[in-house]
Amino acid sequence: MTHWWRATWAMASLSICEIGRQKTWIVLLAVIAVMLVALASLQAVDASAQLKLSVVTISGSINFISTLFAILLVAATITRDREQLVSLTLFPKPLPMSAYVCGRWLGVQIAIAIGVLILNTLGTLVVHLTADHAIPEMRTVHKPVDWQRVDIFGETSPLDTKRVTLTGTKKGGAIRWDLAKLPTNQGDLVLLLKGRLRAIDPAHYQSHIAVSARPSESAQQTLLVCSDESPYGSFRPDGKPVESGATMKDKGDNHVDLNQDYMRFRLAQELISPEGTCIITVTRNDINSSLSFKKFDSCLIALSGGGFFTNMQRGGCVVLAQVGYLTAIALLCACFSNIGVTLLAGLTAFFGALTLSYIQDMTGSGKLPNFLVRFLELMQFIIPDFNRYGVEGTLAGGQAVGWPIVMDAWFYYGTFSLSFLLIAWFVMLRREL
Amino acid sequence: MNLPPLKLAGMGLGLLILAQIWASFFVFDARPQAQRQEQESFFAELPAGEIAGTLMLGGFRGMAIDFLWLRAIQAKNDARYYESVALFDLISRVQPRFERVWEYMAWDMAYNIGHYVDQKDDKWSWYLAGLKANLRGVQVNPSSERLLRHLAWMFFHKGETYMERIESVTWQPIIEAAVKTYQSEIAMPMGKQLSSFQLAEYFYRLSVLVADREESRQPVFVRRMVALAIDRDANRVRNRGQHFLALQRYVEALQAWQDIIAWSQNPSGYHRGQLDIRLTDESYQRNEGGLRRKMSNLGKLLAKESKTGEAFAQAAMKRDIKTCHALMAQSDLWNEHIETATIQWLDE
Repeated sequence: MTHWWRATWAMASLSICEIGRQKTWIVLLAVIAVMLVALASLQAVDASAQLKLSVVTISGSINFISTLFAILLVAATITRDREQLVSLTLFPKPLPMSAYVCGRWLGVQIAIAIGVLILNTLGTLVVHLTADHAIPEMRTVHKPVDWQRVDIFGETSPLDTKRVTLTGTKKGGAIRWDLAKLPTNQGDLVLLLKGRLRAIDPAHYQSHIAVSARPSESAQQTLLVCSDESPYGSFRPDGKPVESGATMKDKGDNHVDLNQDYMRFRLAQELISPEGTCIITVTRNDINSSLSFKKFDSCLIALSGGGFFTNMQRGGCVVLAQVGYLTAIALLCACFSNIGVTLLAGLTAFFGALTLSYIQDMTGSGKLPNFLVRFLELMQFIIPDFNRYGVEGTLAGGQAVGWPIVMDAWFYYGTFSLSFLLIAWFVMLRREL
Repeated sequence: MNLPPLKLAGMGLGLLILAQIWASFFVFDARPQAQRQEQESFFAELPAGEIAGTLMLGGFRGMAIDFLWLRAIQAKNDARYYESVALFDLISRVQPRFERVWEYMAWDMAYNIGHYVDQKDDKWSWYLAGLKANLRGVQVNPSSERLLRHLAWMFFHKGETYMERIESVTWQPIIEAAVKTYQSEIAMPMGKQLSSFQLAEYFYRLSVLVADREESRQPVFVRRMVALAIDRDANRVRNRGQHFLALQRYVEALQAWQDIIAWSQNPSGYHRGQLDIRLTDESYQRNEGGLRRKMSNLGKLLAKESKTGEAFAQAAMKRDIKTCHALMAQSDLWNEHIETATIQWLDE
C-alpha cells in the first residue's frame, strides 16, 4: 500500500512539474489581470450590490477557469504520454496502472487547487480594498428541528409538510418553530424570518405579523420587534415604525440572501433555555392576505460563520470537487482518444452539468421523442448537478460555506469521479502502450 | 499541367496582381452600393473595445454566449438581480445585434427587478435603467422595429405609474443618440413635461416607419397603438383640467384613426391578409366612434357660443378634421377649462 501511495504521489509530482514547465502559470497571470480589471469596472446600483457582484465575479471566474484548466491539463498530459510514447519510459517501472491514473488526477487537482488559492487570495484582497463599507459578516444558519400549527384558539397540531399556509377570515392563526442546540454562551442571537405573501388587492402586499419567543413550553411568551437593521419589516405601510412584530413582504423561495431577504429580530439570551432550546411563534394579524412558510427556510438563527477569506476558500474546495469530476471524465476520454475529442467531451460534460435542471425539465415536458427522453434520462446518471450547492450565490448572500457542505460536495462529485477513474483504469489496462 | 515550380509561382503572382488591380479600380467603386447601410451604422455605434471583444472570441463566441446566458438565467431565477443585470449587459456586448437580449434586459430591469425592490425611488431607478438599456439597443440596432415597439410599450404600459417623474425628466439628451437616424423623418418631441403617452406615441410612430422601410414583419396592431396613445394622453390632460389641450389631442387621435382606416383600405407592408384587415376595422369601429362622441361632447362644453360648439360637434361626427382645426385655431371662441369637463368614469 505504501508503494502504491508513493507511486501515486510520484505521478502527481510529475504532473505538477509538467504543468509548471508548460508555463500555464502565464495563463493564470492573464486570468488574474482580467479578473482585476473586471472587478474594477463592475457597476451596480449601490455599494451592497457592488460587493455582491464582486464576490460572484471572483467565484465565477475561479469556477470557469478551474473547469477549463481541468480539461486542458489532463488532456495534455495523458495524450502526450500516449502519443509521444512517454508511457514507454513510465510503465517498465514498477508503476501500478491505478497509481498512474490516480496520480495524474491528483496532480491536476493539486495544480488547480494552487490556482484557486491564489485567485481567492487576490480576489479577497481586491474586495477588501475596493469595498466602500465593511465586508458583510458571513453567517451560518441554524435551522429548526420541528414545527407546529397553532389555530386561533391556541391549539397546536403537528405538521408533516414542508410548507404551510395561514389563511382564512379570522386573525390569530400561527406557526410555531422549535429550535434546539442553540449556543448559550454567545449572547443575543439574530432571528431571521421570511415567507411568501399572497393578496388579491395590491394594497395588501404587506401584512403585519406578531413574532414571539420563549425558552420553553412553560415560559411566558415575549413579543419581539423587528430590528432597525432589518432590510425591511420595521416600518408600517404608513411609514411609522412598528411597535411590535413586523410588516412582512412577499419573499419567494428563490430569495435566499440573508442580508436582504430576511427580516431580523434580536433574540435575547434570556429567551434561550440553558439546554439551548427556544420556541418561535409567528402569528398572522392581517386577514387580507395569506402567508406561507417553509419548515427549514422561513425561520433561521444566524450564527457567526467565520471570516470572508475562510469561506471563500471553503467555497473553493467545493469548486475543486466539481472540477475533480471534469478531470476524471477528461482523463477517461484522453485514455482512448485525442486531445480534441477530450476537450469536446469535457466541455460537453461541463455544459451538461450546468444545465441538468433544464434537461430534467425537458425530459418531463412530454414534448420530446421517446428515444431522446430515454437517452437524456440515461445521461442523468453520469452527469452531476453543478448548481446543487450554489456556492457563488451563497457567498454573495452572506451565508457561510460550512465544512458539512464541503464534505457533502466531495462525496457527491467524488462518487462520479471515482466511477470514471475506475473506468479509465480499466481502459488503460486494456490498452497496448 | 507539368510546369516548373518557378513558372507556376510566377503565374500565381501575376494572377494576384491582376486581381488586385481589378479590386482597386472596378470593385472599389461598387462597394458602397453593395455594402448594407445597417452594417456600417452597426459598427459605427459600437465602441472599439466591444468590436474587438466580439471578434477576438472567434469560434468560442458561441460557447461564451451559451455560458453567459445560462449564468444569467440561473442568477435571475435565484433572485441575484445584481448579477443577472451585469451578465445581460455583458451578453449585449457580445451579441449586440440580438434584439432579444436588449428587450429582455430592459423588461427584466423595469418590470421584474423594479417589482422586487421596496423603495419607490429604487423602483423608478430600475425602470429608468430598463428604458436606457432599450434605448442603447435601439442605438446599436437602428433598423429594429421590435426594440422601438418594446420601448414604446414600456412607456405606454408602465409609464403611467411614474408619470410625474417622467414629466420631470428632460428626455431629449437621453433619447437623441438613439433616434438621430430618424430625425429627418419624424422629429423628436421637444420641450419639457413630456408625458409617457407622448413618448409612447413617438416611438410607436418610429416603429411603424422603420417596419415599413425595412419591410419587417410587424404586427398590425402597432399602427393602432399610435392612436390609442394619443387618446390616452388626451384623457390624461383632460383629467388635469387642460380641457382645450385635451380637445386638440382628441383631434390628433382622430386623424391617427383616419390614417389607420386609410391603410386598411390600401394595406402596405407586412400583414396576415384579411384577418388583420378585419381586426383593424373592428378596432376602428370600437374606438373611433367613441372618440368622436367624446370630442363632440367636449367641444360643446368648451365652446363659448353654442353655434361654435354645434359646428365643432358636427365636424367631429363627420370626421371633418380640417373644420375642427379651423374652429380650434380661433382661440377666442373657446374656454380653456370648464368645471364639468373632467372624465367621471373610466370608459366614457
